Amino acid sequence: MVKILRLSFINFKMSIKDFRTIMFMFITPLTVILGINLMVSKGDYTVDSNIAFNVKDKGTYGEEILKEMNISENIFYDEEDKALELLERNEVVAVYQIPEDFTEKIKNGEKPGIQSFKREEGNTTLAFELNLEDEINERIRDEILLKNGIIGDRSELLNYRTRTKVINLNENKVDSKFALAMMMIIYFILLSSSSMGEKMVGMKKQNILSRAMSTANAGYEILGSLCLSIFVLQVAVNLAILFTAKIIIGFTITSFYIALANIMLTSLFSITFTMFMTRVFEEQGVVSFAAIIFSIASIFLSLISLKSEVFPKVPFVIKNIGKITPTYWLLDSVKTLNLFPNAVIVLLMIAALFSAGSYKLKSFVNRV
Amino acid sequence: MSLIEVKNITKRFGHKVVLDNITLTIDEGDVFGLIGPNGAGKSTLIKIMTGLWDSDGGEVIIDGYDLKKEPLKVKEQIGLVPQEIALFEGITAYDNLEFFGYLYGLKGRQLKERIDEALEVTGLKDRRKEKVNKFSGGMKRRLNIACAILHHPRILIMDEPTVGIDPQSRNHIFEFTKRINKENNTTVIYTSHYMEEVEMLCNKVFIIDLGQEVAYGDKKSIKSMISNNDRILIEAFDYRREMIQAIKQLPGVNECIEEKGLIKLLADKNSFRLEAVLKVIESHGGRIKSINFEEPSLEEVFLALTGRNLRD
Ligand SMILES: Nc1ncnc2c1ncn2[C@@H]1O[C@H](COP(=O)(O)OP(=O)(O)O)[C@@H](O)[C@H]1O
Ligand SMILES: [Mg+2]
Repeated sequence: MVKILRLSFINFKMSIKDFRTIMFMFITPLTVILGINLMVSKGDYTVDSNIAFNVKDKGTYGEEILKEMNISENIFYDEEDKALELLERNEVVAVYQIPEDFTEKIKNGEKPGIQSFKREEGNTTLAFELNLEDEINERIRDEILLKNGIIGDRSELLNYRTRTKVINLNENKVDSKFALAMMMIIYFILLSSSSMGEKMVGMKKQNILSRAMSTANAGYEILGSLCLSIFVLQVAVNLAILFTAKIIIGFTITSFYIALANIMLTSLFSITFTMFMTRVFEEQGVVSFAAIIFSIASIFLSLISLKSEVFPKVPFVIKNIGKITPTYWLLDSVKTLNLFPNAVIVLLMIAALFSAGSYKLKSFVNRV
Repeated sequence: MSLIEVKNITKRFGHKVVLDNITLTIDEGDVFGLIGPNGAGKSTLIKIMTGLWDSDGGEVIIDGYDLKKEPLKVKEQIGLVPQEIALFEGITAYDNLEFFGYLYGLKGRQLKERIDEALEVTGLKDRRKEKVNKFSGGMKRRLNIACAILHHPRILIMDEPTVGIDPQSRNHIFEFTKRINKENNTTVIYTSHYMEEVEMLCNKVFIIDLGQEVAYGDKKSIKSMISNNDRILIEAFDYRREMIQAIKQLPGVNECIEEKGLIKLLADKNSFRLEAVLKVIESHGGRIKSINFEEPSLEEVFLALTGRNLRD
């Protein structure tokens, strides 16, 4: 064990000598995190101010819902022409018309239709529409609960509402910018399998591994120390990225332990994954290409699974396929601040991959 | 007991037999030459002897340790200079040495001293801070050697250390090999397809071709395999004419001719006595300037034994 630590130390020292690689490891994810953060915050702004409403509702629910959603601009009352004029002048991207029977339908437990006018198809208003739908559904649910006597009166409803709010608050405690930064970090660690695999195959091709094998060190000591040094480097660099992003963007690291645990798990996974890839594929190019494809696909599928409510039309299988990727459980762990069962599941995946992918250094070196 | 015992080593790649029942022993302090043309199986034998490859039969015992059972005990004693350059290209010579020094279990001041020493003996001291990818082929070869001697191995194995390099680096490697053997009593195994090199450096030789032993033993005995005659060149003057006839009468002398003041003798190894010749020359008033034994080169040996030239 002491031997592995000693050898890890020299491997680590070697890798930090290549200063450019380290900077690349640090700068790229950081730039992307900052860039995306900028884009997302801008996006929020435009959606809110670029929508107009025409309220024809005879009751009060329409108005109330808009208020609850913190919308106060561009609201017209039965003035369809004026609202549509804004759309024509390109000042808004969409106009929503709340119908006369809006309140009535909700009271009857029915879903009211909302007409929308847009200049072109697009998804810039998607988030808003989903929010609106949530609000309406909530109202309908309240009405049904009241009507069927499940809840006695409105004050009880208020209790119930407050309780839901509390749960919501809990969920929202995770700073979304922190979650975003973690997502990108996880993504980039996975992506690094590509360069790691290249490095492994490179060390084999440069005969470094075979020379290492001629020294009085067991294969597992050589390979183990190499992996350990990569692990330490990855954890260190990515924590640095997280903290730098925190300082620049100004989010709160909701839970340092969750962040640390997930970075460590991702790194472990990506190292094991690299070993697996170098076992399966011989060529440097193929290893790194496969690693890139895997990283992109897994993050994409996990996002679909995590936000399945956003994609109502995506088939069930695709919605759930993300759950077989480690990324899903890692991101979910960041979102919910749960280490259990997520960490266990990821560890199991790592163990499975390890048993499938681990090999004797000798056979790796000697394979032509 | 010999330091290195290779017993009945066989290696196949598919149906192709690359090493066929190779047996040899090497004593401590030997400079052992393993020679043969390209593809003869030299590197394969080296890789098996250092535990990088498994053999399909036979055993390797070094210092009493069975390589298969106690590989690390064996590897501790070996410094391997692989035929293919094995270095990190993107970092400096010094950093390469530091890395491999760690693998040999060196650290701290001792490591620094050994690195300096290795740089010194391979003549790379001035270039230690340069990146390897800026090195010439010869310098890479020398660094390749430097990386294998940090732990002062008891056995230094060099697989074609002089392939494709400049004469200066080549001489450096020769001098180094002789020195490390003389000063540290390091046992050296030296493979090459250049006969002259092995001829110059080694006291024991194993000639291999197509995975089989062609000849094996100390240099003298190998050479005597192809001929029972010694060729002797004597430079002498002031002698009387009839001396040549008198030499011809001596036991063991098969032929004696005079050519441009040089007396050439072809004599039987077993019955010929040089003292007798010297006496005859003296008694005929001759004075001797030089005497040379002309041996067949290993190149000639290879040709005689295999019917082929070493290099095409
Ligand atoms: N990995 C391998 N797979 C198949 N054949 C091999 C392999 N390595 C070497 N050989 C064959 O073994 C023979 C001996 O090769 P080698 O030991 O490298 O020769 P040398 O070092 O004497 O030039 C050659 O014919 C070569 O083609
Ligand atoms: Mg060879």
